Amino acid sequence: MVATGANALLHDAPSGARLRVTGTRLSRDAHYDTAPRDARIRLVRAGAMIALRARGLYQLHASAAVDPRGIAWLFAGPSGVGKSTLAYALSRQGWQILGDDGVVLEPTAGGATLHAWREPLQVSAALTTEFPELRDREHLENLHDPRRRIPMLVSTARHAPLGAIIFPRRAEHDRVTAMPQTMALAELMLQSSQVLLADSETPRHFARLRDVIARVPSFRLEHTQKQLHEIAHTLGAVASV
Amino acid sequence: MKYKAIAEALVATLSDGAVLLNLQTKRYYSLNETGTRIWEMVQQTADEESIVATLLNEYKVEEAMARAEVRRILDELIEAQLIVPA
Repeated sequence: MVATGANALLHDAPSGARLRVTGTRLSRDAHYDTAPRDARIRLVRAGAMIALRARGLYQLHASAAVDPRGIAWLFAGPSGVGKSTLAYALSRQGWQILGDDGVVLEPTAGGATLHAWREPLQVSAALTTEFPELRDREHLENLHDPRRRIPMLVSTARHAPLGAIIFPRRAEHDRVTAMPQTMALAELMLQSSQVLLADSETPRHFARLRDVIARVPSFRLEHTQKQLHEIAHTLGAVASV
Repeated sequence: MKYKAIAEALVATLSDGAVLLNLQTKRYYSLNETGTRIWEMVQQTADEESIVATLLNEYKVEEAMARAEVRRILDELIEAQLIVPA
């Protein structure tokens, strides 16, 4: 990909297809129309992230759920730490979902607002013991997915003010600890990878992530399977401190 | 000796230190409170001796320890390609 600020020419290497981003506008370029659908989806997804960024909105590789008070909790971290599973566990306890594998962060004067990034919430088929309702949807399992995930229907929200950032980690114990801000920013940056484009938008992107970390509390959640049933209670205890 | 920060370094200062992002190498680094103070002084083109003197003035620390800490952090910043000799 070649990018300069809000203007970028995206190049999908496997197909050779290109998509141009000019400000907040996406336009087809060479080989786009003849590219396979999955290549076009990849390009549009990346293009949307860059176009949003030009408007001060930042896509994060994260899940997020809205509690009964209307406050959003962000779960950020690399694949496999339990972001989707914890979000689904919260949805079963009445929380609304903003995103499963992505959300959009809008920094504000007081902190941030999270916006939905619409993709179906998917839960591993290996969790049928914990979530028996998965059995009813096993026929929807994506057979090409090495993580054997099943798309689930959940109650969703469009946006909510961000109350806390959770960095989950699978462990043999359950523990919530406050995260040092420098560690939280470093981990959040890794889930907002467009910050590394090193273009004219990067300083603002980096500064806005910093502002969010400075204003919104961050926590490390070390969790076992027990949290699949107790996560709402655990976060409630965090909120009351 | 004086050092200067590269133009491609971004810094975010927070309550417990700072995060530096090197846009050339696309790597990030965390600094504790002392490291952040040293980074600030490097940006003000202070030389190594005056950085040590400032730390002795601002913190309760023995001179040998301050000198070693300044050298250690400068070496880390050089290795991270975040500062170069001025």
